[in-house]
Amino acid sequence: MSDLLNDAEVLRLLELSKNGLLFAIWETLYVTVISTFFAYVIGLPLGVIAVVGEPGGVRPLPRPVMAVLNFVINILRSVPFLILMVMVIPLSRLLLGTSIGTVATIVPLIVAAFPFVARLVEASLREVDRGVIEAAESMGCSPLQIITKVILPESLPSLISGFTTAFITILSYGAMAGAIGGGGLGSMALNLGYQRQMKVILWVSVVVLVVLVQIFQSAGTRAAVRTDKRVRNKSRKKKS
Amino acid sequence: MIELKQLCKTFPTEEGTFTALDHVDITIQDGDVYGIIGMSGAGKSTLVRCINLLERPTSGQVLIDGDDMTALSPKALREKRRSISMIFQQFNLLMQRTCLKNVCFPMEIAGVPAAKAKARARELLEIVGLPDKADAYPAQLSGGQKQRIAIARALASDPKVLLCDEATSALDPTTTRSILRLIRDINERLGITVIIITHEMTVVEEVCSHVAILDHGHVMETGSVEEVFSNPKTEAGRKLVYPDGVILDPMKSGRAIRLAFNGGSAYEPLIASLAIDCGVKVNILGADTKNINGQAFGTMMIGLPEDPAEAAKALAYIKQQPNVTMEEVEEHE
Repeated sequence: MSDLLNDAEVLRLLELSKNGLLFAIWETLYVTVISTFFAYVIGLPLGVIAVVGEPGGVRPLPRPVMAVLNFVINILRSVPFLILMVMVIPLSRLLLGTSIGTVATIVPLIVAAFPFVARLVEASLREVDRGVIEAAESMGCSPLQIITKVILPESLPSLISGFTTAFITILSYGAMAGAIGGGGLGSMALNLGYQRQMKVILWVSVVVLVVLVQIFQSAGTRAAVRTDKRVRNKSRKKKS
Repeated sequence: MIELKQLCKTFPTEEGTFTALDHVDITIQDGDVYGIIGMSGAGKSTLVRCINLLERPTSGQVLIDGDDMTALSPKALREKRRSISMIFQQFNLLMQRTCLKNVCFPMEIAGVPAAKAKARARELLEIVGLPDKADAYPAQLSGGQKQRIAIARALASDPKVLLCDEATSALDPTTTRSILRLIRDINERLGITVIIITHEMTVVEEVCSHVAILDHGHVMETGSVEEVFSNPKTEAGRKLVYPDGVILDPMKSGRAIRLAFNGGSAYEPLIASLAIDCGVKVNILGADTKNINGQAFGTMMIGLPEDPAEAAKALAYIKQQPNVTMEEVEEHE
């Protein structure tokens, strides 16, 4: 990379984009945070319904309802994100009044992420021991109490791991937002780094993305491990 | 009083309908410690789960203090379930909660104020002998300790009935005994009716006042433990009482005595010392004894000498032995 840095032209551009880099990081983070938040607002209840609503579940729902739910989740999950971004343009326009720009990337991100989140949540909740749910039933818990006081708290470590996965996936999906005029690190790498051949910027934005992912992954893993009380020795160590 | 009337439960399977319970009639009086024993697959677990309606009976009635459980609305059923606690083979504690919070759980869902629930939970931890584990998580406990926490949790709702679904089957024999002692203690102190599902005869012998033998969904025998175990009338009963197929020799006349060893020293040879100390020779008709940590558990069937004086001598000697209970067995089929 030393020959790149000697290039006066590139150095000048890098200087210019110093503020640009910080702004891109900011854009990437807020798009990811907002998208993840709404993906969970929609995906978490759907994941819960997928588990408790099935036959033999805590609160079985009519089979057609479950069939539709699973069908919608599967369809949305099978559309590639790049295509989905284009397909939800009318929806973005309806909700936000615009279909381009950074904010407009939030809509396709939510649409792409909530079915993924629903499946992650579903997988986490299925880890809860059937016997524990049965014990709660035997104590006279209502279905809602079983969900809020047994199923969700008992699967918390797994939910946190899933959340980390979802957050990082949304972060990397967001990098494609440049395609519809969105900002962030991804579009910086794409527009400045690749199309304008400013390789330093390409590298810098990629390195920053990698560092961000590392930070979020280790924070997420640590939170999951810390909340997990099922492991004998670890809890002991924490107490002393 | 718990009355099961003509209780049936069938499950649809690929090969047709499987009948787990077939017209089961059992009446359990308040304060009983009622054992329901049977081989695996006999329908025991289904039966106990029909009592609190975790499993809905296909037909028949479950009357608890006269209320038909099967006729209750979901809300009324939840209310009623709070007076019927249950403990399980796998303990089923909430792993993400401390022991104290586990014991608080039934009170929490019943709307008991948190401070009151905590105070009561600490009392209950005291009762089950684990006050120091309040802030520990279940994963940090041994199996026996987990079951004690589960028992404390079961008592938190001040139940009238305690259902034990193979509650000691995952525990070693020593722990099993201490848990059974706790259950008996609870029954005596709090007057809670206890229903124990088990495949282990020793469990029934240890704590139960009454027993029902279940086989292939049918109730084969019911009665007091002494009655049923000293003289099983059915094939299923005999199979349980003499699991190794000990069959009494019908040619032997004279009186037969069944001895139960409840944990004396296995190294005191009772029969040999009987012969030496009293000069009485007895016949060992069958035995199923186990040596657990140097203590003898199990049963032995002996035939007394035909001479009444000698027989009386033998009986008097055996009566003096600690940890051995005996009962006379009537004529066997």
